[in-house]
Amino acid sequence: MNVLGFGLDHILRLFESSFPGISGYEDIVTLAIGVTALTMLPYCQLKDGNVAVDLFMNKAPFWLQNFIVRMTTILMTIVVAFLSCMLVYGVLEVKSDGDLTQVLGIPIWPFMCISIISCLLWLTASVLSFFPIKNCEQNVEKDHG
Amino acid sequence: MGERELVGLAGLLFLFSLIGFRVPVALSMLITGIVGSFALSIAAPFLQFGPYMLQFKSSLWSNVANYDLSVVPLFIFMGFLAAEAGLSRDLFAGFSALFGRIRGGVAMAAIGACAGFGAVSGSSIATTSTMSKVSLPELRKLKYDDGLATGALAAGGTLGILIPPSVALVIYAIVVEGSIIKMFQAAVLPGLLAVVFFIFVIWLRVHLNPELAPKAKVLSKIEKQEALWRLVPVLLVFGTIIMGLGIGLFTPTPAAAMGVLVILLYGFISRFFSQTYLTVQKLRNSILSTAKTAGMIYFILFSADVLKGFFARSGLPVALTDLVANSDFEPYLILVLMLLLLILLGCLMESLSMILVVIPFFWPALIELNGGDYVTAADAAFGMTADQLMIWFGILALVVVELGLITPPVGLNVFVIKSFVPEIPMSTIFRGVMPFFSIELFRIALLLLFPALCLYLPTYLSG
Repeated sequence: MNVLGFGLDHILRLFESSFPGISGYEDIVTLAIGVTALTMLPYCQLKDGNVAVDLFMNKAPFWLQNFIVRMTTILMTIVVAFLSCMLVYGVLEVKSDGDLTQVLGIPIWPFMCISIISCLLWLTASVLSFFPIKNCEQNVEKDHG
Repeated sequence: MGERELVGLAGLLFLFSLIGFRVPVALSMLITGIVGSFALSIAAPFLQFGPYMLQFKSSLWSNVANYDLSVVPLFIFMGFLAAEAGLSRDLFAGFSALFGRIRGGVAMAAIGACAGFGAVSGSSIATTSTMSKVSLPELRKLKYDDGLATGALAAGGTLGILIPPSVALVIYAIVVEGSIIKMFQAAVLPGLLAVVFFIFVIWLRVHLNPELAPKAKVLSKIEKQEALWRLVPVLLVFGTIIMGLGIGLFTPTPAAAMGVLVILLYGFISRFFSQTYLTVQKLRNSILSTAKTAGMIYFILFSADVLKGFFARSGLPVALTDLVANSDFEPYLILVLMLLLLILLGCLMESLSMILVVIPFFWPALIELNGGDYVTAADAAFGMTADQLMIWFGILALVVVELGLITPPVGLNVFVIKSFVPEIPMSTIFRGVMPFFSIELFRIALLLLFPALCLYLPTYLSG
């Protein structure tokens, strides 16, 4: 939209007219990206997209690998639960403070509310991460006869 | 070093231990930040833990709702769209037509295609994976040596991190509070230099041992023209972004949005003249892949911010800066040591996390060494202003981070290629990568000796 506005302005200047810049464009992008970015986190968690470095763990005994994966999943769940709780408090605070975007003056808290849903989905995805371990265990048990 | 700094140092070791135990990098950073801050509150009671924890009420939102970072998912989306729209195939065909006559020309074409794809995708892993899918079967069909084929692709894939638009450049610019546009401009010449060097390595290897690559197939004039035409969309996207940024038509976020729009249009229109085009299913795949990659990056960015807060409270970066500034070592020697450390860490860490964890330590130390924020080029230790140092060091650091992508034992690009050709031993791939690794070291030396290679374009374009 911004580029279109810029282009229009250049064309209209040829006819001694102009197209004003789109004010508050950054506000809308910022709110949109805030909401969108948080919706990506549950999907990334569900698809095991968080990057980890395998230095020597692939050579470690299975029980240790399993233990680390379990601990990681538990830690992740605790962390996400904590972040979700804090975000709820954050939304309440932003609402009571009446925080607005800088240019357009749009209230921020409704957008943060959507983020709470994303965080809850993220929490669900973290809890669901336990299940592949179960499948993996079953496969390993099967492999070991 | 006081107690606080020691806690900071212990935190750094704790972080690397967690990463070593295959805990996801973002989670490792987040846990280190929180646990470290708790430890700090014990070591230094005035750094209270309760008020620190309250910052999490807003920190997650304020980290992701950031206009500058909106460019990240857009560039990633652009890369996935380009792959799905068949741009990678077109690039390979176009460059094959250009280099086809030369012995080893298809491997050179793969390098050219990697550079071209790097120009529409912001990520090295995406570049390696996409170009491997497209060109590895062709290289193997033509009986290219396995080491040469895989080595060229692993090295070519690293171009994605440097050739603009690059997500890593965006992140670096945000970390050091620099200009994304200037970083993009600065990366163009070093990126092209890498392309020339990689092609030279292939030429030299094939010249010394012609058995590595068979004689090339000669294309007819019409086939050649068709293939060359297919390079146009990539040039259009790259031109739109770089020219648009260069002449000030738009800032990085609208540039990325324009790139996405151009590829989307090309992808849908190409159904009328090509067999590979964008379908709704492919668009859906691109969106989901973007969500996965961008989600990972956003989590890393948020965690890095928490970790940065812990290190700042511990005073470790300041202590290290003082240590470096008061040492008797030559500034250039310290810079080289920093780069060596980055190469070493590159063998153990993922590139983006490395930028986020290490650069906040190195950057203040370098500024101090150079003579401070407001030093003139004439008085500075490196003979350049703080702004120029930011650009030069950024490019050097990213080139070094690139090396990590092909350095054992982590070498992510090598693993990506291995996943496509499980029958080729890892040792063959790493052996194939070695000549490219050596020429990369030479390129780093050149960039160190001639900072103008990084600084010329930003200086020239800013008038």
